[in-house]
Amino acid sequence: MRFRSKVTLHTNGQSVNAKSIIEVLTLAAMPGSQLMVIAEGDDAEPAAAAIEALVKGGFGEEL
Amino acid sequence: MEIRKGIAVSPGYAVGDAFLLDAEEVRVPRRQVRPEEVEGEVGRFRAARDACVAELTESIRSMQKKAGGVAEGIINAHVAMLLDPVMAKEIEEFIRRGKANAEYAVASSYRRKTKKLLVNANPRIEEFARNIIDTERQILHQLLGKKEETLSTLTRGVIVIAHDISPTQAALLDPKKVLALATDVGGKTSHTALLARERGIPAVVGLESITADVTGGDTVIVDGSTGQVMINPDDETLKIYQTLGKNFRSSQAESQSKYRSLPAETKDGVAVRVLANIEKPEEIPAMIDAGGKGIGLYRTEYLFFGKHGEFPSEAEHYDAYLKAVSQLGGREMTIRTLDAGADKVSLSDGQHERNPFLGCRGIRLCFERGDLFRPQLRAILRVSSRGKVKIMFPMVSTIDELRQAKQVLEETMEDLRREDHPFDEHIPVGIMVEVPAAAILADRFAPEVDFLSLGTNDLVQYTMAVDRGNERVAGLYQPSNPAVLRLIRNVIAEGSKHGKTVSMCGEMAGDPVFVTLLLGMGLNEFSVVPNVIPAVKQVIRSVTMKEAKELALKVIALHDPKSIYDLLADHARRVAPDLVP
Repeated sequence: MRFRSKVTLHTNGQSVNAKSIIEVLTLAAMPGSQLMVIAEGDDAEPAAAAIEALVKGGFGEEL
Repeated sequence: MEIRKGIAVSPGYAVGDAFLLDAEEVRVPRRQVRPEEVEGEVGRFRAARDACVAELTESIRSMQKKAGGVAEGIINAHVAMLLDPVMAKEIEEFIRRGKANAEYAVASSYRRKTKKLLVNANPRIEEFARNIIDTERQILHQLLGKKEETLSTLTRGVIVIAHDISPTQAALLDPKKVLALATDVGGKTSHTALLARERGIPAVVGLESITADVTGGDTVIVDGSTGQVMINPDDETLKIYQTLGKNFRSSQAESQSKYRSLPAETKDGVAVRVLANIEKPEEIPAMIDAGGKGIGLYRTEYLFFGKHGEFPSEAEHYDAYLKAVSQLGGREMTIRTLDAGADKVSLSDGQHERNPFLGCRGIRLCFERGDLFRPQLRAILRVSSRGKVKIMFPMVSTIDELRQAKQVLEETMEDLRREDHPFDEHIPVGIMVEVPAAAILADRFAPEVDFLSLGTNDLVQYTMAVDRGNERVAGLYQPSNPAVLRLIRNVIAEGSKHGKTVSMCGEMAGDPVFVTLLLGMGLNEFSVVPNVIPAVKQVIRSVTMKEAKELALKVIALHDPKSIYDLLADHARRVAPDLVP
């Protein structure tokens, strides 16, 4: 695991563990959805920043 | 012989034995295990999962060379899903708390995740669910000791018949083993279609009941050019298609390697340009590999596809276009603005049209939905500062529409100037000529555009007033009809007269039968699916311009579509015997 922090993603009243690809898929978040990232732990800031960068970068693929 | 008609998504012909891909639900045994067996079940789950990961990792390694990035990406995502820590924890807890066997724990835990997603009508989300179910099936097969009949274990060439191809299965499609694909469901933009085209595997989708109609071992013909699938054909049909299929494969292999690096010029040295039509930036490596000069038609509908109520933002457009441009290494790219409506993407705006082909589609919809059109224009303009980008408006039927579209473009440019966004001030602007009205008035359109691009699929349909998807009238879909050819000739002639590039991005441009005629009429650019680029170059390199012009003159003198087609096919057979039977 790259980050030790506990990271959760929140949207539409649901929240999931961001380290689980399947959980993240079950959020059914589409381009345009609002996502909130909550990271708790000693590397929380870089963890949250990394997720923000990933989402903003379109996960490296076209949307 | 039985004939089924579906949607042709990847051209070519193949004859072979049917291989029915297992689409059945896995039967999941459920039993209570004794407390002392619990850790054993946890161990079985872990071992099965690890075996799946090992298999996938191995398959990535074995196809590293030949497969593109799409396949590897899909498989890597599957490995990540198999190794999902939350899933593993849930499954192991399920076994321990419920004293359940590993199979039941896996199935229940996965189903809990997918249930929510499956009720969602959005096809993209359905795709997520299918990916998760795919992972579950792999683990279950491993646990049950059933070797799933997978595409990776095929030993000889077969015709794959399936309800649908899962993303992992599609990623494993090997053109050497899979001669063709025929599926019950799917459309032109499904991953199956995309990957089949990318690998040059003939494919027909949307056949509805092909898995019920075909029994494993049946002889099946797939015609990926017309969308027909023939089951247990008669000898005569079989013979015809065996030749077609053999020619298709050998010419594909041969011309791929031979013509890739050769320029598209006639024997007497007249150079034309061969470009690619693409749906997604992922197809660009195939275009470059096939020796294309760039993208003659970038369809952008997929950006809008499957989005209910949410449409792509300017940033999403921009990212997709930038991704494309950055792979092109200075080659050009023509982006077509949204062409929704009719058979393409429906925007599900709730407005039912009785006659969608004659309804609000193409540029008409772009005007109605400025909220979709303007962000796309902004993105195209912005990316024009990063590469050679052209802009093309679809379905233009009047000069007024063209002027209005250019007006919106000019306003968008003004906004960008104000915001200090760089863009190409001289970005070439053109139209798709696919409505007969525009083809007839080509002399009026030409002075007001930088290029004209013949969209022959629609042009033929509108000229002949025929829906080629309707089998009762599909015979009237005649690219060789003199009416169609006159329109095409007129557009090319008027374009040239005004010094404008005339391109063709319809299927006709990629049909070896028509290439010489189009050359003779003076077409400058052929834009075709990436894998037929070498074949088009092959024909071009096999004729002289003089010969092509003579052929065009002969054709103009003929009256009926059949004799025209026969003349063209005869000629093509002579110059490129391996391409035309």
